[in-house]
Amino acid sequence: MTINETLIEKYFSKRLTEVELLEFNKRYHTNENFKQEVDFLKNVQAVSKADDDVQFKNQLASYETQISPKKAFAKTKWLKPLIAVAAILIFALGFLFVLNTPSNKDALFSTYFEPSKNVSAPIIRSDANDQLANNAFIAYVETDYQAALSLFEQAFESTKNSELLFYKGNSLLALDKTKEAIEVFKTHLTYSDALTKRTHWYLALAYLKSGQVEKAKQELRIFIDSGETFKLAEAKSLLKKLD
Amino acid sequence: MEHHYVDALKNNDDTLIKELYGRHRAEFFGFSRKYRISEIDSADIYQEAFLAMRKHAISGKLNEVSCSFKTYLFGIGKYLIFDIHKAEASKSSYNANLHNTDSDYESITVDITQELTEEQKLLRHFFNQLGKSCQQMLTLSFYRGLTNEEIAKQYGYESEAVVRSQKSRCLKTLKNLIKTSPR
Repeated sequence: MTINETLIEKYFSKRLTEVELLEFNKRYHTNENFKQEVDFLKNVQAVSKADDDVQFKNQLASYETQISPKKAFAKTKWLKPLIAVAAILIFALGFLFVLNTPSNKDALFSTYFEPSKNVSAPIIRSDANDQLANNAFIAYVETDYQAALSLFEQAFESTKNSELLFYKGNSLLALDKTKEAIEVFKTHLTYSDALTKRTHWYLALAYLKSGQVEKAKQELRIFIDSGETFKLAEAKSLLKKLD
Repeated sequence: MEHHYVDALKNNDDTLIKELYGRHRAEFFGFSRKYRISEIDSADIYQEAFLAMRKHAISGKLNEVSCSFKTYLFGIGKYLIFDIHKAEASKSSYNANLHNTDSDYESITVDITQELTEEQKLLRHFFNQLGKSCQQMLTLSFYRGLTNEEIAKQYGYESEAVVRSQKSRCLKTLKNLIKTSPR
């Protein structure tokens, strides 16, 4: 290992002695190549920190979900006011005869909808060529659905990975673009992948949001019969409320 | 501070971090309730406090701290709670009494997450194009501050030299990605 390499390794692992620190600073201020390399690595540090922090946050969120699964869905900040409204509406109007009014469909949607978690990224991230999908998932996890939407679109165009449609639909639904979400989910249902069955659940919610209750019920029945355990209890409870 | 907890945060020891998260959670939620923080916001703050703890563990700051893990965690939490109240105070009347609720924990200042510069955002784009093992290698070296020898030992590489050459390959690939990208 060269002296420069040793100094750099020790600098980033915070193990420079006082003498070494002096030497490091001297080289940094007198040797342009050394300075450039250190500045580049400082940027690598900032970037890897940002990604590593996102992963750590996801790790903590998964603990929270395990400890308090019912409450974890409400973590998305923009969803909170909607959930509050939903709770008040359900409490105040909590009778079956009013369930067909538009406001209650919205309330039911808000109660049951949470954008799907990213369950595909570990597979997709293994492919170094999928940078668009990778960036899309980072935006998605950070709840930046507008950015995620456009990245998922581009990623799907270049990779034709049908699972990306599932997340595109979820991003649209989170952005309140219900009609577009329905079209994307319908397209996703023309494929067969690990997430196709789950799309019936989100399509049902999109139909509910757009006031198409019969279609929502139909999708819920398909979803319940599909053998998918994800959101099964919620699907049954929602169908009961709509029947 | 308890060294094994600091090491757990630095080395991302999932089992121990999860245990710590569960151990102090209920008390922290009760603590933040005193400051009129909802349960959902408490979870957010609790997680932010853990993230800040980890940053301090990685930066070496926790090595100089003499209080316990819990005291420090709650101190950060208190700071974050105050920060929320200050932000809300700009929208409505500020209730200074809220800050007198608990004096058991000294508020500990943390840096609010710094935005990446435009140059760094661009670099992130290329960084994400690297294979997972390269991303991990560079993260361990430059963010977590592990030496080549520590990486070899903890992540099962044959030797320090293998880590060194792998890291050098990763950096070369990253630089090539930047060089060959259309401007």
